[in-house]
Amino acid sequence: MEVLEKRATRGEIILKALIGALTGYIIAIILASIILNPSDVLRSVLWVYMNTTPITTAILFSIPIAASALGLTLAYRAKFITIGAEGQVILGSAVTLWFIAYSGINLQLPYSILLAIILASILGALCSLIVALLRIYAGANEILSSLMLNFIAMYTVNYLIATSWRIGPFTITKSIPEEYRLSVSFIIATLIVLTLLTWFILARTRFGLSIEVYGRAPRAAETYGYSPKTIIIGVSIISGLMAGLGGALAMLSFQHHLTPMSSPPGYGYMGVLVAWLSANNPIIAMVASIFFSTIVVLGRTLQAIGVPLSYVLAIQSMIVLSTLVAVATAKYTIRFRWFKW
Amino acid sequence: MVDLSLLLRILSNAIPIMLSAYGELLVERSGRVNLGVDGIMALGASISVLVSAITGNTMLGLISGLATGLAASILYIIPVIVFRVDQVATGLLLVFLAWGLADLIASIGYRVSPSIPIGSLQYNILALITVIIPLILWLLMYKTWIGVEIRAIGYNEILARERGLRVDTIRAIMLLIGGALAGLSGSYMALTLYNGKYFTGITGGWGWLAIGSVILGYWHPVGVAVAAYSIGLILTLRPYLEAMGLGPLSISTPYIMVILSLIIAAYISRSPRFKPPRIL
Repeated sequence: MEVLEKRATRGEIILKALIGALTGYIIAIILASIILNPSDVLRSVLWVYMNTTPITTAILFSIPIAASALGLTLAYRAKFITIGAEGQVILGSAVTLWFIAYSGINLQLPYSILLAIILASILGALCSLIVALLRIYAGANEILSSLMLNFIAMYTVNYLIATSWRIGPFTITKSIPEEYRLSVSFIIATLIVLTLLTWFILARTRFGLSIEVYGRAPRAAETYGYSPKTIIIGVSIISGLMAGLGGALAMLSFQHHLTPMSSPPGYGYMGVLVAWLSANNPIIAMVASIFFSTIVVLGRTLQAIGVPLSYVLAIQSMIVLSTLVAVATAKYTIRFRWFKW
Repeated sequence: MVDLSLLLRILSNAIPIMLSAYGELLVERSGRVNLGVDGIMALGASISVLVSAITGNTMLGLISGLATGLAASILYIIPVIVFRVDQVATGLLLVFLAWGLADLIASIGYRVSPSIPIGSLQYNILALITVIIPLILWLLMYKTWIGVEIRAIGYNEILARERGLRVDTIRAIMLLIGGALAGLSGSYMALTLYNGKYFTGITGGWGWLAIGSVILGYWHPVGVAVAAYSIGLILTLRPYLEAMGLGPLSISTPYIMVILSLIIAAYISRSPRFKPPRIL
C-alpha cells in the first residue's frame, strides 16, 4: 500500500467534509432504524429539523458543547491534545449548583449568578492547569492524564450527589430556583461573544500567533523566543475557563439539578468532537456545535422509542469519523498493490 | 489473614485489564496507540451477552466477543493505517461509537431474553491464560524475528520502512490482535464478573486502566502483568477503602495510580537506555 500526498483545493476539502458528515449521519440513523422501528426514527428526525421548539432547545444544549469546543480549538492549535473538557464541564455545573442551592451565600440576583459562573470557570481552569503542569514539569502525556481526571471528577461529583447533596429517598439533588435560570436570548448572546472572543485571540493577538506557530513548528517557535511553557499554560487555562463556564451555563439554563452518572454525560466529549470536526476554526466550531446539539435533542426524542441516550455520542462520532476519512481522501492518494503489501 | 476468595477476586478483576493490556502492549510496541480499547470492551460485552442469551452458550458468547473486537479494530485500521487519520482522534471516536452501539444492541438484548445461564464459565480457563500469556509474549517479543520487527517499527518507523519491513501490515495485524483481546476481555467482564448482565457504563473506564497499565508496566510483558495485577488488587480493595471513609478518593484510586504511572514512565524514559516505543 502506498500513501501519496496531493494538493487539494479548499473547496474540494470543504465539499468532501460536508459529504462525509452527511454520510456519517445517514449511516448512524440507518443503524438505529435497523434495530428499532424505521418510521418512528424518521419521524423524530423530521420533527427535530422542522419545528422551532427543538431548535430553541438545541441552542440551549449547545452552550456547554460550544464553550468547551471553542476553548479546545486554541488548545488543539497548540498541539495540546487535552480531553479534560468533560470533567471540567461536570465540575463547573456541580460547583454552580453548590453555590446557588447549597452554599447558603445570599447575594443580589445578578451578582450571585455572576459569582457562580466565575467560580465554575476558575475551577475548570485549575483542573485544566493540573494537566498542563503534569505535562510540562512531569512529562506526563496530557491525553491520558486528562481522561483520568474526567473519571475522577465524575466519581467525585457522583459521590457528592449520593451523600451530602442528596435530598429525599431518590439520589437527586436540589434544583436551581426558578429566578436563577437563564433565558435563550442570554445563551445566544454568550455563544456569539465567546466565538468572537476566540476568533479575536486567534487572529488578532500576539498570543494567538504564538499558539499557531508553536503548533505548526515547536522548534521554530522556541528559536524565535516563544516560551512553550507560557503557551501551554495559557492555552490550558483558557480551555479550562471556557469548559467550566460552559458547565455553569448548562446548569443554569437547562440542567437545573444533578443525578448520578453511570457513564459521562458527554457535553465535554462533544466539544472535543466539534473541535476536531471544525478543524479548529472557531466560527465553524460554533455552527457545528449547534448542529451537534440538534443531535442531542434528536437523541432525547429517540429515547422515547427506545434508543439509549449514549447513542447521541455515537451518531456524532460517526459523523466526525466519516468526515475525517472523507477529508483524508481529498488529501491523499492511496494505491493498493496487493502482491507486495 | 489471607482469604482465598479475596485472592480469586483480585485475579478475576485483573483478568479483563490484563487481556486488553496485552493487546494494547502489542499495538503500542508496533508504534500505534489504540485509545478505543474501552469502547471495544463495552461492545464485546454487549454482543457477547446478546449471543449467549440467544444461544444459551457462554463459550459462544466469548467467541462472539472476540469476533466483535476484530470487527471493531477494522473500524480503527481503515482510518488510521489506510487514510492516515489522526490516531488519537480515531481512537476516541471509536470509544464513543462503540459505547453507543453497545447500548443500542443491549436495548434489543433485553427484549430477546433477560436471563443467562450462570456458572458455566469460571475463572480457571482465563486465569490460566493470563499466567501463560506473559511468558509467550516475552518469548515472542525478545526471542523471535517477529518480535524484533515489531519493536523496530515502534522505535523508528521511517528506518524500518527503509529497511523493507512491512510496517502497515504488521501494525494492522497487531491492531487486530489487540482488538480481539479487548473484545474478549469485555465479554469476560459481562459474562463472569457481572453474571451475564450488560448495563450502561459496564466497563467503568477499565479500558483506560488497561492502557495505563501498559505504561505502568513500561511496555514489557512481565511488567504489564505486574501492573495489571496491582490494578486488579486496587479495584478489589476499593470497597474496603470506601468503608474506611476515604470517600471519593477511594473510587478514584486506580485513576490516580495511572496518572502517577504516567509521571514515573516519563521520568524513566529520560534515560537513554530505556527508550519506550514512540507512540504519540
